[in-house]
Amino acid sequence: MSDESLIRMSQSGDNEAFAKLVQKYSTDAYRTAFMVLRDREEVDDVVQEAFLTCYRSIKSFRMESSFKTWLYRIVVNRCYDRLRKLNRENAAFNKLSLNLSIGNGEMDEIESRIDLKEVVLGLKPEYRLVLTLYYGMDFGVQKVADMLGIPAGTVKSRLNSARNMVKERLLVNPL
Amino acid sequence: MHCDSIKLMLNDFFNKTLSRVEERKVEGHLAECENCRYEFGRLEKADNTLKKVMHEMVAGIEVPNSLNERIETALALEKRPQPRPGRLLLLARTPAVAAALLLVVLAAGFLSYYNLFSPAATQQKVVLSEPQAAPLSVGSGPTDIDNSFTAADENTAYKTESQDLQGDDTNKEIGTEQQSIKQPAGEPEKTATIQPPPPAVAMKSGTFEDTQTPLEKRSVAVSSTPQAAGASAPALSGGTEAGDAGFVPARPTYLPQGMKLEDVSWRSGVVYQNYRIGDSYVTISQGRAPAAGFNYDELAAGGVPVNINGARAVLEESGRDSNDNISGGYAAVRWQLGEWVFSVSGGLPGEEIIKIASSLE
Repeated sequence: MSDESLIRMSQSGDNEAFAKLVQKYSTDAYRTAFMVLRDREEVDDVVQEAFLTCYRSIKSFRMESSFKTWLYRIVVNRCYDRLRKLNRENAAFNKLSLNLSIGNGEMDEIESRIDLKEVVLGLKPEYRLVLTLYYGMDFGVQKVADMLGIPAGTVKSRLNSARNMVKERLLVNPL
Repeated sequence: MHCDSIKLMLNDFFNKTLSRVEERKVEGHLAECENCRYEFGRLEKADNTLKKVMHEMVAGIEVPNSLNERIETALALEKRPQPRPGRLLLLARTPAVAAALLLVVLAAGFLSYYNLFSPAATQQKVVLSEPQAAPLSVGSGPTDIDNSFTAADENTAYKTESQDLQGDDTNKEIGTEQQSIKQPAGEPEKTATIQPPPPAVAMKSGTFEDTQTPLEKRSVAVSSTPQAAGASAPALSGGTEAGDAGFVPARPTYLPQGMKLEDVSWRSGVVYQNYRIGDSYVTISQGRAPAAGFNYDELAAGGVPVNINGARAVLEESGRDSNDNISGGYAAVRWQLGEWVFSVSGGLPGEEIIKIASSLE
């Protein structure tokens, strides 16, 4: 059944239809939040709150965007709220500096990839989110921009930065 | 086309944001220019690596099996209908009952006046003053007061949540401090989101006062079936919960299958036990009867007379609310047994409500 049908049914009080939306999108919502927060307890809360928020305002949802975009945007905003509260950004920046300073020409492909994962995890959350949605979940630039509520140019700029960074790293540590 | 212009377009090539015409230009240039082809190759490798790594990272995140269950539990609590205004207050709004109450008030006033100025009536003063209290106290008994307070408090909570929703439509990218300042102070978000709307929550609720604790965690902590009632005994007796209400409330020995005690609270000497399973909920209240007794006849005007363990009770039932797609039907039974006034109400059929009421011990 299409999202639009499920939404219309939810809007007319069909709770089963909303439960189907939950089942359809909870996994991706969880993974997206986890890529930002890296804390299961926090992620549990964020995803639950996001679905509750959707549920409470489903009647006013006007199909101007997809349910998925709407849900992701709520998830992302909740993640940012949590990050602000947890003040984890400084730690993330420190970690990034640390990772970028590691250079070892003998790493094999797997180690290089693990290292790259650490670099990704050390990126600022907004960069990590763009990479997660664009590369990890195969959304297009405009869709990512809609989900994050930022201009498409900003998404492109972040993708370019990440790509250029990886390009330079691969020059030093080819896979 | 010049190499510099092409290099500027290479990233957009991988971003898939070039027009078809631009893509053809880039491809045409790459076929001729080795330098640009080299740069393109490096970017392509970086792009493929990022795709591979990000896919692995995202797919490698283990999602807990209980996630959907957890969300659906929270939704079920959310679906719980807002408690309606006190039934007795509703009764008082009907013209006939309101007129009767007015007459009682006038009569009370007249008798007081008469007693004051008539020496012959002095002997009757004590006798007359007690029955006067009965009809008056019906409309202002503990149950009514509590229900009305609850409704008011829930409206406030709902308003907070509505405001929170608007916040979600706002672009709140990290680093935009101005927007973060807009967040309501005191972290109302989590509290409002997870706070359930049952009657007990709006009231002071003993050991469950921690509003920061997610509800389902609280439910687990206090859950109790009739069979395992002993497990929750501390919450219902002694000096912690009901101790403040001054008595140990009766508990049901029958509940619909799977229904569990969610929380216990009290207000104005009335103890409320809230039970829930999925969408179905039941609230059992118990408080001391007003000094002059429970005005059964007045209540009976608004419901169906039933019998609960030999006591005359009144059952009120209403169907699904046509204005609310979420709320189900509602039934409530009220009665007095000795010095206690009981009510059992909730989103269950009347027969179930009566069965639960009859099982109170």
